[in-house]
This record gives sequence, structure tokens and C-alpha cells, in this order.
Amino acid sequence: MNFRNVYWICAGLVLLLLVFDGAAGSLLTFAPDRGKVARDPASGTIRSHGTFVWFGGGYQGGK
Amino acid sequence: MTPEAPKKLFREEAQAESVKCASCGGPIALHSFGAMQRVICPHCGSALEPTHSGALALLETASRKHQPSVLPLHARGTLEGIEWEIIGICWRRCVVDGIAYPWQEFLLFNPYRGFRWLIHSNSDGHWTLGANLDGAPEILDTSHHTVRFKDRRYRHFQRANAVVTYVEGEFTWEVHVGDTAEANDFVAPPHGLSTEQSSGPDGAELNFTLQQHIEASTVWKAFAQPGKPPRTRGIGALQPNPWRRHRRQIWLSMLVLFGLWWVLSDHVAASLHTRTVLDEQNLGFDEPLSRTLTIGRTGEPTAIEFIFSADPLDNAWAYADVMLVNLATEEAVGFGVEASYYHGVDGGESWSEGSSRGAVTLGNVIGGEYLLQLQPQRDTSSLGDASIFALGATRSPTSFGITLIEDVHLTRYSVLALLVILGLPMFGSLMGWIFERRRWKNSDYAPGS
Amino acid sequence: MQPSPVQCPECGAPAPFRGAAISLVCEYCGSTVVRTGVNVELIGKVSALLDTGSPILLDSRGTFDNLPFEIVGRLQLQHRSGTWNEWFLNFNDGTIGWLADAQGSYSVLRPREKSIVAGKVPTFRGLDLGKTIVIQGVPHVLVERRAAAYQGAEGVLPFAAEPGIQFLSADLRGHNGEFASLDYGEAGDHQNPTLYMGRAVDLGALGLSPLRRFAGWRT
Repeated sequence: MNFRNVYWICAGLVLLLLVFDGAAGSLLTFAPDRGKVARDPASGTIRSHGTFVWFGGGYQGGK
Repeated sequence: MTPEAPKKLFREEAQAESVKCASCGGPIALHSFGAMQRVICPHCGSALEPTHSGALALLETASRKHQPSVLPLHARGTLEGIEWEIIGICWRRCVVDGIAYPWQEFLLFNPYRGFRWLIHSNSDGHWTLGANLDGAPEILDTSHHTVRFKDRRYRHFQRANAVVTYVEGEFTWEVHVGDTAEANDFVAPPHGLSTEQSSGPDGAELNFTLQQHIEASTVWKAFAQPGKPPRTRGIGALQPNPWRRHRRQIWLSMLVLFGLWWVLSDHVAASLHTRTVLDEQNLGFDEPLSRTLTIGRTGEPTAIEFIFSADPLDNAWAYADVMLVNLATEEAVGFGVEASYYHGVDGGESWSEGSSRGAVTLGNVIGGEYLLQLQPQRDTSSLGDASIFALGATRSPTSFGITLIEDVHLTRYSVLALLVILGLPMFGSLMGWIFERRRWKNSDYAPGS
Repeated sequence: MQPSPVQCPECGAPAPFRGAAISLVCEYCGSTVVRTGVNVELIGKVSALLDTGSPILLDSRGTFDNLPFEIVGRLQLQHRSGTWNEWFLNFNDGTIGWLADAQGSYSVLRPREKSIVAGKVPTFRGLDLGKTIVIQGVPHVLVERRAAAYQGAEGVLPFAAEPGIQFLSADLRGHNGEFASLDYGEAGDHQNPTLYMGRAVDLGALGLSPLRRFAGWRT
């Protein structure tokens, strides 16, 4: 396993990634909370899940 | 009348001999079948010389003790399909800047192939295999000291005065402890060329040796030695640079890969149908928001961007807690988006941080009917404050806007691919340069030497 | 190449001169017999050949550049750094050559016209180690200069190999494996040596047969 082979393998992987996932973007995006929703038993409407998921850095309100 | 033809000379199988040392009486094995010029007793170090009658005559007595070398005398090993036997061992050293650099030379013999040299450096543990050069190198550039032989250029690496410190076994020249020679080493890793000049009463000789780097593990396996070979330290003068192997192929393929990247990036971007699915502004913070919308094509994954903006926003923040529910599968994705903007003057310098917009990119969103639920929050500290225009004051947002775009172009895939395609060869180049610097640190040309 | 019905003047055994041979070492009594025209002359006993551990045998056959040859004689020379052999080759096309055999290094040389170097090279005493001499447009570096003594011989040789004669010669090597040898004979003050040119060879490439056998080694 030499550097040239490592290069070709990495370049191949990264181009395959571009071709097969470049549009849908499943691998290089941050995965937020996923899950089945809970329905309100009385009215059948969907309950807000209320989970706080953070994206990105920077300030979280206030100085 | 014609007498019986005498037996032709040398037709019987030549035999190895064993003699007793004339000085210490210890047994000396003779395995070179007459090719030796000098024999040094392994036990006591006395020098013997073959006479015309075939017997060994004592030339010089010594009484040193036997020193074990990295490989033992008379060990046999197969290198590149040829079997060799160690018939002589010679230790030499040179002194550079007050530091002694010793090495061990093993004279390899095969009666049908001649002689080779296996050299092991004690200071860095590296091995080289040498053979007498059939020819003479050409001096190319006297300032940089480059020589050429058979279309290969060798750069001068070091000049040293080598002194013999220990000898045992059979040799094809009159070796003697204390012998000195001026040696010059030229390198073209993994190949090398060494020159040595010797002179005597009835002639003078220039000796050229072609060397090549050989891995310690190869030597150890070839000579079936137990355990592991002595550890190598640092970079050997002839050690091949693993970062520069296939250098041309790497750079050429980089060009090809770049072209491929260009075409594929373009193709991926062109295949997208970016569309704004939802765009609502001037929404109030008082109550949660709920919308149904269609994202992408049913069942097909897409990447979406959700943008949340708040206005006005000055030294304040706004936040949205969002949930997207796929109405068909009842699977939800939950995330938060923040918009915050702060600025001020600190010791004469003004600074600012954040933006009135926050965006989130989600990938692998399966197309279909969706329910969007959003719970907004905000910094309410300055609502209704009259001094809103004072410097450094807070302005709380009064309304927000949301935009949802489907099938967005994720440049990160393209950028990552480019970084790998262009970056790895550059990384390899840097590592290769570092490797060579480490190699040349041991030469006469080390920076600062 | 018919063996001539010549007899060794010393012991009467057949002395089979062949081809360009001028001297012959009698197999039976070890005397050197020299042939001048139709006469044969005894010039003395040779010193015993030393066993230098050479794998080459007299009367073996081989091929060089697709031209088969037979080894018909050996000259053994001696000097401070050792003893080596020069094997006299008779090629199938009637030409001659030499196979130098020293410390596991082998070279095949063919005699060339003296006029190529006559006057263009220094005298033996004037040779400088490391200096470049151009022969037929090819640069050669002087790598060895020696005064060698005759040690022994076997078979036939193209000159009167007399015990006690000295050989003044120089070896030159080119940058691509070329090998040239200047043979000054016994005088060191002329500029008219005999020129031999050739190259270093791998023993295996010559396909010599039979080869000498060594206990514990496969050919």
C-alpha cells in the first residue's frame, strides 16, 4: 500500500461520494433529531416534540 | 609409447579446508577455495597469507578477542535468488565532528558469482548491498559533485576517512587493522556509488562500488537469523523515499482527476432542480406556525435549506424550534435555527458578530407531503424601549421570516473532492521534502553544518 | 585447427599446437614449448599454477555475443594485490580473445589495431590514475596500472610465455561498462601498446561448460 494507491483510492471515494450523494446529501450533512411523531391521543393532531437541537456555533442568545 | 595423459588440473570437486591457526592453534575454516589473499584468524586476529605451496604462512600475530558481529561468519543467505556465504567480516569507522560512526562489512562469496558486500551501519541500523562496479563513473558537475554512470546521476553525499578496526575471516586483499582509505559516497536513492582510492609500490587502483539499499528484514530473512534485526534509526542514505515513489504518476493522475472532478461537479449541479418551496415574511412571534407543503418528488431524497430571519435585530437574538413531519411515514425531523446579531465598540475598535439570518441545511429528506411546525422565540429585553437608536442599544425583533428551498446545491461535496484531488499530492510533496531533509541531515551538506 | 604432429622436446609427448598458438605448456612434463615456424623450442618449466578458486576450466566451451568459443589456454599473472587468470579464447570464426578472471569479475577482450592508440596514449610510466583517455571517441577512465609477473600457464598461448617475464599493462573503464586494456609488454617507455577492447561480463551469460565444481555449491 503506497502513497499513490492511497491517493487514487481517496480520490475515487470522494468522487463516488460526489456522484452518488452530492444531490441528496445524506452523508455530509448534520443529522438532526429524527423519529416518529407522537399524536395527541384525544384530537389526533401531532404534538410538537419540543426537543432543542443546536446547529452551528456562535452565540446562543445574550452577550 | 605415449604415456598416460595426466589428470587435468582442477577437475575434481574443490573442497573447503580447515587449518589450525599458526599463532593460537584455533581452527580456521577456509571457504573461498583459494580466492583469498589474506586470512585473519577469527579467534586471535593473527594474519596469515597463502604461500605458493598452498600452505598458510603466519604474517603477523595478534591476540585480540573474537567480537560477535551482527551476522556470523560463514552464514549463508539467498538474495535475489543467488546464494551467498559470509567469508570475511571487517569493521570500519569514520569520525565526523568528533563523533565516531562505525559500520560492519560482510564479504559475501559465491564461487560462480564472485563477491558482494553487505554493509550494516551501527549508528542508524540501515543495510546496503554493494558490488564492484564494472566501469567508471563520469564526473558531471565539479561544484555540486555529481557523477553519472549508465544514465543514472548520483549526488555526492559524504566524504570520510574510513579506518579498519576489526577483521576476521578470508579476504581478497591485504586487509589490516588500522588501514585507512578515503571514501566518497554518491547517492541516487535507492542506488549509490562509492569510490575508494588505494595505492601501492607497483601500482595504484581506483575502486568503484555500486550500492543499493536493502531492507533489514530482507537481510534477516535471507540469512535465516532468529528474532528481529537491529532497529533502524533515522533515514538511511540510500533509503528510498516512499512519498516520491510513482511521483510522475501521481501528478499526471491529478490532472486527469481534476478534469474528472470538473465534469462530475458540473453534472451533479446541472441535475438539480432547486426550487423555493416556502417563503413567508413578516410573521409574528406570538404564536407557533404550522404549514403543510410538498417537498421534492415522492420517495426521492433531496437536500433542503431552511432560512430563518428576524427583523429588526440589533444586539439581540431570535430562535425557531422547527419540526418537519413526513405525513406519509409520520417520521419527523427536528432542529433549531438561530439568528443573532451583536455589535459594539471596544477600546476604539468596532466589532460585530452574527447575522439577522440563520440557515440550516438538511440532507436526505425524502420527498413527499410535509407538515412544518415552528415555535419561535426571541430576546424580548428591549421591546418597547424608547432609546432604540442609542449606540450599543438592543433592538428586539418584532417579526420573522422563513424560506424553505428544496434540491439545494451542496458545494461541500465538490469542495471536499477538490481538496482531496489537489491536496493529497501537495501533502505528499511536502512529506517527500521533509523526508529528503531528514536524509540529508546526515550528509556533508546538512544545513547549518 | 588440426593438431600438428609436434612432440614435446623434453618428454616426447604430443604437443598439440592449434590455431594462433605460439607456446604450449606440456601436459605431461610442464615444460613450455615454443613454436617458431616449423621449429619447436623448449623455453623452460613453468611455475605451478596456483588455485585461485576460479570456476573456469581449460578446454571448456562457451558463447560470447552469439559467437561460440573454446578456452584453449590460460596465463596466470601475479602482482601485489593477488593472482589472476587470463584465459585464451579461440572463437569459431578463427578470431581470438581473452577472458580476464580476477576476484569474481570477468571481462572479455578482443585485440584491436595498435594504430588506434599508437602515439595517442602516454607511456606506461606516464599513466595517471583517474585520467580520461578517449579511444575511438569513447572516454575511458584509467582505473588500474600494474607490473605483473608471470606465474604459470596451461594449454596454448599466442606468445612465448616465458617464466620470469613481466607484463606492464593498464586497465581503463568506460562510463557504460566498456573495458579497454593497454598491454605495454615489458617496456615502460614507449607509446605503442597493444590495445584490447571489450566489456565486463556476467559469468552466467557466457554459458561456460563444463564449470568447476565446488563442494557445497550448486552451479
